[in-house]
Amino acid sequence: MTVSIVDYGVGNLAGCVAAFTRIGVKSIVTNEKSDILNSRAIILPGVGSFDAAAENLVSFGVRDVLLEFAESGKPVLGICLGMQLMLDRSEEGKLAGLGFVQGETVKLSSAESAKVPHMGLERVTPSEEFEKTLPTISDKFYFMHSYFCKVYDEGVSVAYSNHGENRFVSAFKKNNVVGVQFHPEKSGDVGDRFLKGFVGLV
Amino acid sequence: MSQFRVIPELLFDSSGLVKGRSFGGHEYVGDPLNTIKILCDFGASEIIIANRAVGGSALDFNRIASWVSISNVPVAYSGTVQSMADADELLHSGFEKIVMSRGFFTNPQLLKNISHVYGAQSTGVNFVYRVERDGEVVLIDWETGYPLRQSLLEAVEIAAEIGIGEIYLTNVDREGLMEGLDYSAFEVVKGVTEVPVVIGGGVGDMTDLKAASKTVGLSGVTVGSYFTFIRRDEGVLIRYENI
Repeated sequence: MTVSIVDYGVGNLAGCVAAFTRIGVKSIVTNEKSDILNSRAIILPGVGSFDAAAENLVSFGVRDVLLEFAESGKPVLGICLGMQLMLDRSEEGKLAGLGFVQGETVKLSSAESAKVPHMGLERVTPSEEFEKTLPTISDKFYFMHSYFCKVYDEGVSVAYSNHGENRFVSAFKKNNVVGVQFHPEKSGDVGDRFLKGFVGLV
Repeated sequence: MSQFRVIPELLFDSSGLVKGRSFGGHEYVGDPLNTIKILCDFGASEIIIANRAVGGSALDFNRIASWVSISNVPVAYSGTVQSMADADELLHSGFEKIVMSRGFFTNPQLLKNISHVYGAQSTGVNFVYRVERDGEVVLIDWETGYPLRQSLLEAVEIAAEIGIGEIYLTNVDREGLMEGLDYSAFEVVKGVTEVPVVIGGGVGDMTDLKAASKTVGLSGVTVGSYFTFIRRDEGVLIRYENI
């Protein structure tokens, strides 16, 4: 079985495909229900604004499929905006997210030593327990975002990073649903190792 | 504090990668695909590919998409983009960001639209400038070499209104000389803009990079010649060094 990279018209798909090719895992770019439901795992990428992406999830017909897939217990990985869409809502827009995890996205605050958008490599520090599950997450990954996830569900925030003085959730895991704020597909060898580790969870 | 960004900048034209001095006298320095692969292998955390074509002539998407597909780090496209369809093509082919220079002044609405659809982090503007004898920073149209009507502060204000995610500042007179960075324009914009600022033009050694990394409020530097040539006036040797 393959890994499906969900195509809902929001950029960054080429980078994800290249990453899975590098680590030797077969992936397809799709928005077909049968492809998605038959996958061993799915990736929800995303670049752009929350509402435009949330709208596309509906117009591309993948919103209900994602909800069904998540129920199956098979792994789902949301990357950057893909992670943010897994929450209930965003301060950035009005439309509903997928609601896999209770929370909302909030804009980062800018300071002299921490500009917004937050761009570049940043340390990801996992909880002890999550590091045992996915050791390859304890490293530096590439971030490019203006909003962060404010998580209300207890016990699902599994890794943190810093933007200047402010600490934010850089990964959450609720059962089979994992979200990461960073871009593993654009984090060099470190990112490839992380994706290998994620696929290994399957 | 976020990690300081040292960003290799590769300039291309129809022949391949080229490098010049003060935006002139360009010579062929190699093949884009190999160079990007080398930079990724050496641990570069992001790359900028800049198009030297004047006037933003039609892009050969297949050609540049093949280069970016080899990269396992973010790649920004720097050059004039004519339409939203071109921007869609670039951002779907693997580029993370579009950085415009001349296009910022001639078609700000396009950058605004890109920022709206793909997010501020997908956009940047490169302000090319010159420092006059009295120390004044003057914006330059790099294609003509003529000074622009707007002041740097006015341009930064427009960038904020449009929703540009990053500001690059390039001193045209330092570019390619490897004689050290100029901070004049950065001094003008620091404290005024909320987005990351990256300066470029003149990095000649590690001392320049270390000094830049200690500059409060500066997010990164772009590096061309120093990562391209063994030394000034010597042969090509692609490499990457971080702080």
